[in-house]
Amino acid sequence: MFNSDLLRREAIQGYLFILPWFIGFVVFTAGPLTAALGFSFTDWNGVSAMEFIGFENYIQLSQDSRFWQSLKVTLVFTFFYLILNIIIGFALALVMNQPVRGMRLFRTIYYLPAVLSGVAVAVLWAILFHREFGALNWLLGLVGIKRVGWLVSESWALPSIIIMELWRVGSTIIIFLAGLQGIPPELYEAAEVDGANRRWRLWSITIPLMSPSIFFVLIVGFINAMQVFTQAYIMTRGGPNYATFFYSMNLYQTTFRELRLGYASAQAGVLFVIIFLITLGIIWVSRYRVNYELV
Amino acid sequence: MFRRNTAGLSRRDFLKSAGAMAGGIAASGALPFASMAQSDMSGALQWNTNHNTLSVNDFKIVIENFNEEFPDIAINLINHGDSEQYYTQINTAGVAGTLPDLFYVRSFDVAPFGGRGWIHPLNDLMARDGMDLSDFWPAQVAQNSYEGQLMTLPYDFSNWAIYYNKTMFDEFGVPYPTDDWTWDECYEIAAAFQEGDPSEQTRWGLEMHQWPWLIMGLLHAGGGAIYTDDYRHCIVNNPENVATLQRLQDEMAAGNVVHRGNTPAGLDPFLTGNIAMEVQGSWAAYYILDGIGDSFEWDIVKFPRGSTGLSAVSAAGGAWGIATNTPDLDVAWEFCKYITNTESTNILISNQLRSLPGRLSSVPRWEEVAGTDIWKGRKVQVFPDQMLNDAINWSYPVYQGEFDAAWNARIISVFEGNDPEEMLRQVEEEANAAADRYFEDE
Repeated sequence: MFNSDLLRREAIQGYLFILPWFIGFVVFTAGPLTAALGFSFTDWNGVSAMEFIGFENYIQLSQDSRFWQSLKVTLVFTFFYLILNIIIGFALALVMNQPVRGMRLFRTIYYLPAVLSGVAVAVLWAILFHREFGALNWLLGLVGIKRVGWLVSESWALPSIIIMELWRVGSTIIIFLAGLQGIPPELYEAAEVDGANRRWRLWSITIPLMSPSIFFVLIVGFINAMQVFTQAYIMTRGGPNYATFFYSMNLYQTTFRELRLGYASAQAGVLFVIIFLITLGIIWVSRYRVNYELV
Repeated sequence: MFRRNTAGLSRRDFLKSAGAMAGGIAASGALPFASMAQSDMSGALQWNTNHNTLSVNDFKIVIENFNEEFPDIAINLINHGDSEQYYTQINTAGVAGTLPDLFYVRSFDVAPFGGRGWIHPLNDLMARDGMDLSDFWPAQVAQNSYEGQLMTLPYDFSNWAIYYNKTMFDEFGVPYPTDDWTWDECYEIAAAFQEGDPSEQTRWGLEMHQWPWLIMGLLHAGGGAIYTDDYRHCIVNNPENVATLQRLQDEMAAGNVVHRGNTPAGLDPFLTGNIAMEVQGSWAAYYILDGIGDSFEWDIVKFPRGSTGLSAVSAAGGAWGIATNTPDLDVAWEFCKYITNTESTNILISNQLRSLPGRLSSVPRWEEVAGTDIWKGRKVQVFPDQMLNDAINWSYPVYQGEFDAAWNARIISVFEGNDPEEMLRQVEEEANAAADRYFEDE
């Protein structure tokens, strides 16, 4: 009896504690998600009467060149950004894990860009990338390389945004650094006794034991990269010639400039499904590739 | 296709008539509120603007003046400096039915906002208060109207000219341009300032903005059309426009002309002396004056004539719209009239030459300021001259926003070497797809 009362009271308290979050989730996440799903089957500009049009928005999306271009740009960005972010972040974390004097200062310096506002970073890099007056081309000019139209060339605009984003690799470094410091040193000592060289120790101990951290960076990085917006919004407005027209830019333009709220809801729904399915795929693969044994 | 603003008035005649109009209005006591007793009208208004800090200071002065006569009307001013954020806020509030009582509306937005029923038509209010349109620029009246109704009261009206660095012209021994010049001559002059390999140069002849409404004037001067007469279709893809853009592209490839591209705000190569000439708007005169200081001598020359011999410059402006959701239309209308009367327009525009005033009766004050020592005889008068003689008297269609988006996404690629015809074809296609959406129910 006593135990049952206590348990009930504890349960009620637990529910009360999660209630604010639950209300927030329903009002600000689940509610809008459900509403957007409903809107996606309508022709609505937010002002006139809402008209149910079935799957018309989805059919129109499949024929919309702007939709395909924005999806392509986003997937290309995500693919290259994620791979480079993980490789560079991992390499720098390995370097910063060395017991060298002054390493804390270097860690701080590398992490600083990650705490800067996205808008400030984009404005800064827009100046650095400027073809005529930017510092980057000035530096290249010192070694005889001709000016690159970083943000005005169709072929360079997207790589430029990837480069800028990689400058903010500090967050990834921190996660990897934490993972590296969680690996028991005895494993390396035992491997060394067994004659494993540095490369083998990296391949057989470090990478397998870092796989949960890599997996985490992959999932979070993927979801964020698929929704990238600020950089292109500030630096290129999606141009030149839609070369940096990310999916979120398309969504923003359709919603806030063209006020095609039904169509934009369909776009948002498709993005949700794409992110959901690919994330599920990554999680499924991780069952065979991620080693949690020592974590 | 488009009516030009050919009133047939000389500048002298115009100034005389504008001066007489201002004098007449003042003499008849019709200068609203100039000597009025305090009103007992009361209420509270939200006023949203999209301007810089200097303008905001002047808005506050006008609010103070207004409150001397309307002490019981509280005005809450909110300024969004960034245009993108401002229009996101306005669009969002429009959908939510929570628009500010009075807000800034550009020429390009009058038709879209009017079509969505966000701004209150003003004809009845103007008729009630005995106001007519004769004190506004005819081209701006056309742009501020939607389906036969004036939708907004003008704040400023702008057009384009070429600002040039006289010191650099002197150094290169190049004669100053004259007001009857053509784009061919402009490009020729620009070439004189270009040196060496375009990929290495640090100085250019002319800088060109990418803004669609600027280049629309350039295209028009080259004989090309943008829209059909009824504005229902975009017809921008035509041989004349292709030729005009191709010529611009060739000049950029040769290094004579450079585009603003993605130059961040605050980085102005004309101010730093890297560009001999810059295509700039009438609104830029006061900050160019301030930005250059004594660094070098400069002046302004009219927008060049196109291949057809036509001098055509685009004009567009800003105005104030009253939200249809305002709870107190009379209070909003009173304030809207006040901030657009001659006295307020002098404070907001003419006293600093902040573009051209939306009221003709404010032009004499503008001219007076333009003649003061601070402007050192620089020909800022080209702007009102152009507005009278060269401005294209056109409106902007309801899908101008979509046209702008398609244009802005592609024009840089043309400047960088892409096929102009392909770009114009795509812009036309996207603009017409938007037009179809707007007109599908009719």
